[in-house]
Amino acid sequence: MGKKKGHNKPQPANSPIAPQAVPETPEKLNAIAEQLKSFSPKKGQATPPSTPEGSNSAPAAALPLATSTPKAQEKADKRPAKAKGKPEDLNDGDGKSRADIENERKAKKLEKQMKKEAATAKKKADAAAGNAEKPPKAPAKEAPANKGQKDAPKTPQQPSKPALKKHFASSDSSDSFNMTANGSKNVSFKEKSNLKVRFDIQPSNQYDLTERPAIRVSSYFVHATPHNVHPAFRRLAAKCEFKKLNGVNELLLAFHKTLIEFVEDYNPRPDLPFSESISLDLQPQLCCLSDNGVHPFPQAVGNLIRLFKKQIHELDNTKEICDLKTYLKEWIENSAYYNFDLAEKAIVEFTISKLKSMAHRRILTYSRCPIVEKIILTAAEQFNDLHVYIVDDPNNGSRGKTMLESLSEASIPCTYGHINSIGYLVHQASVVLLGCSAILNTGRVVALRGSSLLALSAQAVNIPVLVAAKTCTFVDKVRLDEHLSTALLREPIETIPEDLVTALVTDLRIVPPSSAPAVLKAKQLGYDN
Amino acid sequence: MTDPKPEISALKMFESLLDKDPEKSMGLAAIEALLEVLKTSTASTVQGLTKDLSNAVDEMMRTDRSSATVQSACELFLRFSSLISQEKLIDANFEAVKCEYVKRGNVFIKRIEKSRSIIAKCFRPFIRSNLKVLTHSYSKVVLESLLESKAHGCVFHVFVTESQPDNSGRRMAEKLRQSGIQTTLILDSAVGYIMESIDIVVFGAEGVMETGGIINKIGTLGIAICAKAMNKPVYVMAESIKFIKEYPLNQSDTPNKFKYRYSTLESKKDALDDEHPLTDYTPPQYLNLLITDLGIFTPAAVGDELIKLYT
Repeated sequence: MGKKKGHNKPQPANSPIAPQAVPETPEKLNAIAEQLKSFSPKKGQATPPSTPEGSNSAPAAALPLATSTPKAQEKADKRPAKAKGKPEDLNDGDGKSRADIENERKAKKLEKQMKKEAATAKKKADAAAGNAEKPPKAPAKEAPANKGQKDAPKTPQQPSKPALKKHFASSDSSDSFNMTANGSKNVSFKEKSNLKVRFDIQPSNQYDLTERPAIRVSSYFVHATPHNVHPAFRRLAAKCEFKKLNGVNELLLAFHKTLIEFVEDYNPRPDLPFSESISLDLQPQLCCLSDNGVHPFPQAVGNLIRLFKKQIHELDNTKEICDLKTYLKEWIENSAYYNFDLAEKAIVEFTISKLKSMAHRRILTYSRCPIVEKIILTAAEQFNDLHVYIVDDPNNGSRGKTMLESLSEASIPCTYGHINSIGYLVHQASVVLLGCSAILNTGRVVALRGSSLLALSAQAVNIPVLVAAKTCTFVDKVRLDEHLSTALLREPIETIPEDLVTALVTDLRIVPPSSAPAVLKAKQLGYDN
Repeated sequence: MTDPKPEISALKMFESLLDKDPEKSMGLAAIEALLEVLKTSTASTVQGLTKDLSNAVDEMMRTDRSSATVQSACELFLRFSSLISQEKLIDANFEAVKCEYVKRGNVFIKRIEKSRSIIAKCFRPFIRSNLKVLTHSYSKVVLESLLESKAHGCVFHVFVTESQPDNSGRRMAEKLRQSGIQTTLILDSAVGYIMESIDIVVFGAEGVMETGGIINKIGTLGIAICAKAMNKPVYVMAESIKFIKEYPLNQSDTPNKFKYRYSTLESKKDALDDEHPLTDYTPPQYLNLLITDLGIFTPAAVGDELIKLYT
């Protein structure tokens, strides 16, 4: 679906909203918000407010909001050093006339009113066109100074977004909604604009409108100075940002490569032994990726980091530096080999041995998991009565379509449906095959949002649910904070209760979910090891 | 110590052991037969010995008796015996190694002989007086446990299902009546009717799976589901040699060698659809506890125990 463009295009004032990319900067959104006030009859304000309409130039509209609160003012002041390429007018908080201040206050009041009504409208919009896309993030290339401005106006912006979505959504479902919302006014939104507002309908977002707006936005390199962070990590973060890496598997592989590059180029500090020096210098890299711990790493990546740190800790510092480096690089390569090539082979074999004994091989799967894809492709070589039902989430990238393409190329008969058709598809299938991004201590499965619907439906029609789980994704945690977004991957996840899962197919053996601690122990992934 | 006697057929030995003492545990008989083969083997290398033993196991699997028990018992026996420490293997000639195997085999057998009585002891706290117990078909372990409880003065009433097609429930009811336990023989179809007045349900098992589920005489699954629906506890008694390293997902995923007798499999290889299976698989969600000689487990814990046993 439409990707957001990160360019600051100047917004023509007093014009209906031109079809263009998502305006991210606060001034544009505010301009739109101002215009909305004049368009919506139900808002109770028939007449548009005075000053914002008149002086509708973008920076001026932004001005009251950007510096209205003292906090934002402080932040704006603190950021001058980081400001690269910021619009010049934004930080001119001084020299406002009294009239301006009064206008600011009026605008603020109206904003608040709009906020309230838009919040209710947002709830309706959620119901009509539920999706799970994230709010726009500032990519590293863009001005980090925008973060300061984003903090304060973030709050009033969020309610304007659902209002925007209601009117400008390029998804088809809210068509009827447009009609009712527009009411009697003669305004017509002629074009289905490409304007796409993404918001996340996780529970914390809905009610959290006034608290901690800053957490949702992250600028990766806020606390990192260039000489601290290796470019390999930056590249990794950028790839994730632009969705070149989909899913935990690809991320893990890329992370391995990044670590190898880091070790390769690393020059230890002269005053410290190698292991201490490298662990000291690893910290800021990881900090910058996870925004200083605000966003935790995805579980499997966390495992890898922990094991890597353990290896560093156990290094024999008396050896030569190049020897140590080679040792570390070999360890990382081995880990990649075991956890990817070998593990996947083992999982494929185990699953196929289970598929062999089935009378009808009709597999139901969700979105795209690379391991499940491999399993199906290998199984298709052995069995010729395979039929695959792919359930997909249209709001989350429709990755199932990629899977559909690759399976069709291998001439496997497939059926594709959205999550709404799960009720029909589950009756056709004989086994459910899911991927996962982590397995918790209790046996709960952490997977893409929507997977639990498959598991629940499968239980209702009494078909087994198999989850392909690599042992490197087992984690010694009991619960996850689902609403916290993870550091590199921003895909929405959920947990599947362990009683819905028949078996976990791991590279060690096929295991019931309750035996997760045994696997943890076998692979020494527990926290006390 | 090469024996001048020709190699004894493992299957014949197995059958003769069971004929001599019908109360003997099937797994125990299989292990003893294997030990005999071990003792009388003419192999001169460890690999030859292993080959002889695995041939013997294959032979015994051709029995018409429960092959699940035979398979699991033999595999565990072989693993246990070959677990010789490194020091004893260094500089040892083959005879010494064979002696070690035999020694460990005997240790294993002694442990297994006691398993039924250990289970009976574990089970005693579950039986109170005036309890109504439901059991299915003929299980030696369950019989021994119930007799032990009676011997310690408990008074209870046992309901036994007839368990067609071989009417083995009748044998069970007779044995129970002989020792003075109040017993009622009921139809297989009467289980739903009687369940409301039952207090606990007890099964034996032919095999315990990695999932924590069991393979037992056909009809077990139905009784277990009925018990679950009416909230009656279900206990399974199984010796540790019955733990099998298989992971069935549902009935059709259970291997055919557990469901049908060997003779049936041989004669009707392709027309098994018309054959009635002799066993069924009860998934772990219908079982409350498994009472074994290694302790009392929940079905979920069986997987861990199996891992310990097989490594």
